[in-house]
Amino acid sequence: MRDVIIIGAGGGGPVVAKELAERGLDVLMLEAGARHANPEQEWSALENHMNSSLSGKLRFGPSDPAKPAWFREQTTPGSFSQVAGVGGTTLHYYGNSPRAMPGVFAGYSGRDRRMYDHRHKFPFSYDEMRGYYEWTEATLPVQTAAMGTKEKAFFDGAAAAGLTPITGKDVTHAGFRPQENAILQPGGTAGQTSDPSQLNYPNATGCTLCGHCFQGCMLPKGAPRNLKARRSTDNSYTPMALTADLWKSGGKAVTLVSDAYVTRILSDRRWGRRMQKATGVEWRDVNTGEVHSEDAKVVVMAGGCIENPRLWMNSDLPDPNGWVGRGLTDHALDWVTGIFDHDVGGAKGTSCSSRADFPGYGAIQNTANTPGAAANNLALSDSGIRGAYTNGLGSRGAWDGEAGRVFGTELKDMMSDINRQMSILVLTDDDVERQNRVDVSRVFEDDHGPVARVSIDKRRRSRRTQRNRDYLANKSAEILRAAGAKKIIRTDWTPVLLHLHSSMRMGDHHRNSVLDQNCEARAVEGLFIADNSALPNSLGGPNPTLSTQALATRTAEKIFQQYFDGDAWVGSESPICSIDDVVTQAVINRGL
Amino acid sequence: MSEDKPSNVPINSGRRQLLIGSGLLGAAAAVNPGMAFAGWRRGHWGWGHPEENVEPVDWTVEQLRTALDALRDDTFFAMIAFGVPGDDPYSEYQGVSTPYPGGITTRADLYLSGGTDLLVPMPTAFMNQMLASIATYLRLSPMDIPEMASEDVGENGEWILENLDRTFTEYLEGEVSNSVLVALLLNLAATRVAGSIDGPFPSPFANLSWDQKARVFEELENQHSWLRRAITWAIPDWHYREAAPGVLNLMISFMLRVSGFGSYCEFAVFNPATREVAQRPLGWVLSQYAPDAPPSGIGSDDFIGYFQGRRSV
Ligand SMILES: Cc1cc2nc3c(=O)[nH]c(=O)nc-3n(C[C@H](O)[C@H](O)[C@H](O)COP(=O)(O)OP(=O)(O)OC[C@H]3O[C@@H](n4cnc5c(N)ncnc54)[C@H](O)[C@@H]3O)c2cc1C
Repeated sequence: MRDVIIIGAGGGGPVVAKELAERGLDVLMLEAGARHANPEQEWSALENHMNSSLSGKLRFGPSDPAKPAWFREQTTPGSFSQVAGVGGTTLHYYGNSPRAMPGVFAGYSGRDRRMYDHRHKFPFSYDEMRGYYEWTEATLPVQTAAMGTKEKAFFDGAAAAGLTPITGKDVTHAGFRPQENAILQPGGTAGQTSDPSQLNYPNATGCTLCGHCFQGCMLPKGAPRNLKARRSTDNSYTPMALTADLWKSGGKAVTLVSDAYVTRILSDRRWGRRMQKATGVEWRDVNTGEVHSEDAKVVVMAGGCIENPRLWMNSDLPDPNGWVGRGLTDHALDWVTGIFDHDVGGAKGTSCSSRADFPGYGAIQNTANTPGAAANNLALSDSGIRGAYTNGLGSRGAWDGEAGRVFGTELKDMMSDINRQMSILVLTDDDVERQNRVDVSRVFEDDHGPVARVSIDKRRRSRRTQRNRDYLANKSAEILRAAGAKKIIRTDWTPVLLHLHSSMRMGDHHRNSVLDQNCEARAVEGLFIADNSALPNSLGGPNPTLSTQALATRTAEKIFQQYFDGDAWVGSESPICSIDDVVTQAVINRGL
Repeated sequence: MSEDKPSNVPINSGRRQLLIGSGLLGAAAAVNPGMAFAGWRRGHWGWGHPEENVEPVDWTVEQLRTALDALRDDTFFAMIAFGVPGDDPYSEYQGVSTPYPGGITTRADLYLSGGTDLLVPMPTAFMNQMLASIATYLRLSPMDIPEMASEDVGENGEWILENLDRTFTEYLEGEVSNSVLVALLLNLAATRVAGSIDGPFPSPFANLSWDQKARVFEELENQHSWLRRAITWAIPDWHYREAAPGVLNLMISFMLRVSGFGSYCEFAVFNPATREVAQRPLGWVLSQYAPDAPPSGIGSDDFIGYFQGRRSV
């Protein structure tokens, strides 16, 4: 019997694993996808090879490339960008690690308090969360991002559009700023040269500004795994979890099994405070098809917003208030692109190092793109084809003409010099709405049971969500105009499911949430959730992973206190950073 | 005609429209001229000049598969020319081309069809029920194609259509790729939008102008499109009926989105042995990306400094 079994090694799972391994618990972490033990020998910087959601190295699918990706059904237009494998979707992520808007927490009393999704707040205060933010920021670590061509162009535009800088970690007013990124900033030759012979570790440390964050970070070349620049959890928390016995006295290394798809959460029926008690899990070896099971005192789900509801339903766990899988939020993303007559670094540097925040509305950020992704992003719409049809949408605003898909010669023109493109991603503060949901398919099944079915209908989002999205698209266009763009297009995306939250939400009331204030399932004792799905809302727009990781740290503490008679540590101890020399030594000694 | 001629089942007008409007008959005739009959020529219906003495061929599933694969390729070429036009015949025929290469030169069509095949694990029964439902719908709400789809096509024509339908039914019982299904649907939508379509290509969609192609997608993307109604009209399985619009969406939006990605990514020149491109991809040339590649860069000198000198907040 294990102390704790964690399902999923993505953005959230490894945080609980590392925190509890540090406390000496016996932890098993099961991951459905690949281990990616040797990125420098297996990966490339090429976008289709790495990122194709159907056949790429980083896809939601089995590690065996000959096998098809794992399918999910969608009832409404949209697309997924999710990854299976150790690191999960952080293998793709850009490391942007802003804190949530204070207005989405209990007890917020700012003048703009009615501007947020006030019916679905965090059940505790921002002040309480701050301690967990600080712990997580120090562990990853999170650093202020450097500036390159595109960041400079964005800041100039934002200032010319009348915005002022935000200079703290907490968002206090609408303004712009460099990202707080979970990326080690350039050191030595990094950022100074494109000559590959000069870019080996330790001559180069941190981010080399290669421009391939999306393809998984394996640089600088030759750096130990925990010193790769971008702090996806395969580089940060997982190496720490696997070596906890070496860098912490009393620590115990986590057991990690990859290619292990959990198909069932085992439970005992009971009729006490909760309806059932989690007792362990059953998983399937994705390569051999063998089925295994293990028992544990505590089970932690961290399979992400789409797989958690599926696993819950396929395990026949209770759903007394009907909230399992409901209330999915996705930041109602959108895309606004400016074309310039000079170089604005459209394909240069980190994928994303600058942003602007608008409390009550959400956030926007400037991103770099490789050519395939750039063309894809201009065509990712259900607002028809610009100049031909609008499919009932085609809104107008501070951009040029009608919003919509760019196609044909217009696409080719806009793609004619990628460095003269500046693209802005809109992250909407969107509402938790019951009709946006994940359940299981009635038609499609794979080796792990009926697949997940996702419904998130852009056209039926709440008025506040739509207003916020339009507001931010307009702000983006204004910044691009102020920066000197000659042409500005709003694509009006269909849902692109890469920031997903709240499908198994925690909440302050048993009628509107799956999880209680400690992220334990209201209906199943000993079952916790520690990934984006546990978030109570969409955070007011900021990128979710830091908040998930801070919350997962808090959840690890609650588990330790409630089930293992331990004490809390955040606030009373100092965190060990994932790039600390003791960790580096441990990672090298263990041959990771 | 073979001696042991199988007994064909007479087919109704809806099924006929499906066979003709989807480009299936045209594709068959393109592969084997014996499939042309009684006044019908590829992409074109004529009246009053029955070619009585053409000997129809016996049509096998394998032949049909070849014909359908060719139809799929033709349709996907036309799709890529629509998304990222170039200096190829498909771009020129649609009336929107550029003096330099486009997506077809990067073989984005292969990317698109390969991707479509992997996109959704369609159960055979689901695909069959969708197509049958369309035929039922077309019977009640015929398309604006000449009477021949529903009227007298002569004995030869009748036999050919019946034979084709039987072979198609057999074909559908085996492995059918999504890309073929999508090509048939796209062509059907093209016929629906533009009526009888004449032109140099077997695929009706490929014979459309750029504006007409846009109208096809306008129709396909519309939440109340006839195709959406048609595929769900008479699906007997309730769960399939519920899932069909989502699956259709997925395929249609994939076509529109991936034309660009396939044209600009490295797919065509990727060497798996080196995990590097064999030469600079055309999409990179067109977008002026990574002028010094290959090899792909592992760093750049784009570092300027920190905003207002701030290293931390
Ligand atoms: C292109 C891109 C850029 C992004 N950039 C940012 C950014 O800059 N900042 C930010 O905050 N966020 C960003 N995100 C989002 C970020 O990746 C997610 O917020 C984060 O990864 C979510 O963590 P998670 O644990 O909820 O899910 P995931 O990271 O998806 O992890 C879930 C893991 O569980 C595994 N799993 C699922 N089911 C099972 C099962 N039954 N058995 C075993 N294992 C299972 C999966 O294989 C996966 O590895 C980005 C996402 C994308 C796609």
